[in-house]
Amino acid sequence: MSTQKTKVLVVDDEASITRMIKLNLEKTGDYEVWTENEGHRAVKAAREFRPDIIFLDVMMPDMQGDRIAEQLEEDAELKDIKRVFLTAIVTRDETADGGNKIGGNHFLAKPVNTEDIIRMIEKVL
Amino acid sequence: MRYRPIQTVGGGKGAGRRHRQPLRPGYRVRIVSAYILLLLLSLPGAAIATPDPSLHLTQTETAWLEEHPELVLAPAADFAPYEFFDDKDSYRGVAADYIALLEQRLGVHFRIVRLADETARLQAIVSGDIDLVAAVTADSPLARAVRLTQPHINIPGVIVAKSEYRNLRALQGRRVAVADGALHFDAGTAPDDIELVPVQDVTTALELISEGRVDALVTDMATASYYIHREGMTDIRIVGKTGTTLSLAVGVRRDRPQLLAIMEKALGSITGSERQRLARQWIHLKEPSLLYSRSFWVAMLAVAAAILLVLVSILLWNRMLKRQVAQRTESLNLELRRRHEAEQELRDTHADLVNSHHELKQTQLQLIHAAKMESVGELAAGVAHEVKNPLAVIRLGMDYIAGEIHSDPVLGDVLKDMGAAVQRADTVTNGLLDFSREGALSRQEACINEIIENSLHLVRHELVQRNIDVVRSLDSNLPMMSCDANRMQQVFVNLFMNAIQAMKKYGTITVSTYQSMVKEEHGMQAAPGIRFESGQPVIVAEVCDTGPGVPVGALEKMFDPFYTTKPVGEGTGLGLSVIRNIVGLHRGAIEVKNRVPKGLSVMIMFDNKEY
Repeated sequence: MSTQKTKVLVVDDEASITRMIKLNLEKTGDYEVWTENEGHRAVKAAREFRPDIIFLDVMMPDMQGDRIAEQLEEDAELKDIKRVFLTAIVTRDETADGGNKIGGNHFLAKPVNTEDIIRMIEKVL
Repeated sequence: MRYRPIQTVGGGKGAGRRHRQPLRPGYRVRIVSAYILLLLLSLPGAAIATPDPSLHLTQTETAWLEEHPELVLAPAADFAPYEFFDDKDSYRGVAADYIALLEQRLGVHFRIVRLADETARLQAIVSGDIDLVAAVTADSPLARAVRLTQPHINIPGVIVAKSEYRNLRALQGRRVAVADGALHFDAGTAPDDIELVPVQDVTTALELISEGRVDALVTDMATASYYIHREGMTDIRIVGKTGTTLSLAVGVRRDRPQLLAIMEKALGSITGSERQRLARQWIHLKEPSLLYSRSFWVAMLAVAAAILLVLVSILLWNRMLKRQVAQRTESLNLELRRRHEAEQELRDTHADLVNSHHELKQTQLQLIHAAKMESVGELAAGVAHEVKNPLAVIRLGMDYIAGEIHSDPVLGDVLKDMGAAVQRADTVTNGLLDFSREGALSRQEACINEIIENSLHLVRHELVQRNIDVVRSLDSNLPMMSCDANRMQQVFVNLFMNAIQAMKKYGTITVSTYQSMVKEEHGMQAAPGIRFESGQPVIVAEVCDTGPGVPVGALEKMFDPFYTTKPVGEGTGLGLSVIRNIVGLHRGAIEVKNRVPKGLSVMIMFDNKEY
């Protein structure tokens, strides 16, 4: 794989979602996608994979997305990695205005489609 | 009077009315006529010689009288008004009247003899020439020669003076005449300082008074009366009493004890009223007017004082009662006022309680609502999470598949339907989230008309597709409103979508805005804790359709979450409840009515602060 590919880390407890995102993004040929279904392993994965952007599910059973974001923020090497939250609770209408941001963070409302994700990556990076 | 010198009064020409003076000639006819008169007076009594049985004379006494049918009496010649001879030589006076009465009672004849003077009378009675005398004072020389009966004539002593002297006190320092041998003052009765002037007789004294040489005269009442009347001295009156009494008794020869007893009995039979009648004939003067009596005035003063005391007491008592009544009234009024205040307080408290109760109820409703919303919120979040994740998988999966089918038309349609289904499921979930989310509004000044236009723009495709007309009647003077434009737009989009879906195809949506006042609260749907009152100014936005309206029973359920009249798949059942929540967040109310002849009208009202 080419090093020009954008490296995307998707953290979501639901494996089918991470798998679908990986499939759809990698199919374009522009992205290299790592998936992680355990919240507490997200920081470790980020350190190993060094992604350009991380998609973080907010609600996960073992560790919430915002907690992971904090840990990334505290890590000097990882804090500059762009982060986008994925959430099922915020509706699409709410994230649509003001650049998909709530409280300064980028959001994508589930159910997301591939187009939304790509547009978000291009916007953030 | 103790004694008086005998004066010859009257002439000898006339005869006595009843008794002939036998020592003088020419009296026989008169005596006869007197006898006849006496006879007449004695009727119906049978005989003159019979004494009145009521005298209870003893047999001896009766016998004695029978033996002595004629008794000789020598009066004082000039002892007026007690006894005297008038100008017709008749025996007259108080004593004469008594004698006449006794003659009647005893059935005897008193022969009257006129003797020259007292000495002659004294000799006559001692010698037995006469039997009795009729009016003797106990201390006269004659009294010692006779036996005296109890005094039958008792006349009070008086002081007479010119009428300028009103009472005894006025005589202080004045000259008072005392007729020789007349009554004196009783000890202590005489005014201080008077100069007593002895005079010969009453006539002299009266002359001196009229000449102004003395001021008053002490005498007895009958004497005073007689002389004043005789002299015609109208300006003289009785000013006081001496406290002494002139007492005259009948004097009987000492050797006639039976006669004394008989006379005692006869005099005793004369009643008080008879005595009064006899006295009245001779006493014309009135007793000193009570008006001039000091004791009268003292008594009057005492009575007046007593009356005054009683009046004052009554007055004081009355005032005291009045004061008590006033105090009682005052305290009652105070009590009444206190009770009124207490009642008012009670009413206020009651009103407060009612208010508090109402507020509590509202608060409770709000709390219940909040609790409900909290649980609904949690539920919605849970549902959204559980639904949206699968939807995300499906959508992403469809994206992948779409890239693999390479323009297979059938698979393309399948994917499209699946996409719509995912969209619908997502919409329901979003509605649920909207419904549960009562969070803070992002308020800004906005015009409802503008929001309505934006909302119409969002549903324009539906309107065009279904041939639905829109009629606008928007008040251009509508005041700006502080509201969350996005949430408000959600409201109108929902209302328009409801209207569109109700009419299906062809129809008219009339949307109007205006300022009005609340007519009646009834029928208004407001979130708990929000109240509109009659007359309150409001901004109204009204959306009317020409659809079938809503069954009457359904009107009330319309705001329940998940209630819908739409066919399955068309409505989420969250529209009106979401609308109501958003409207409630803006402290507004909704009223839904069926229109005549058809259609539904939804009015949204907001408090108009511009007024």
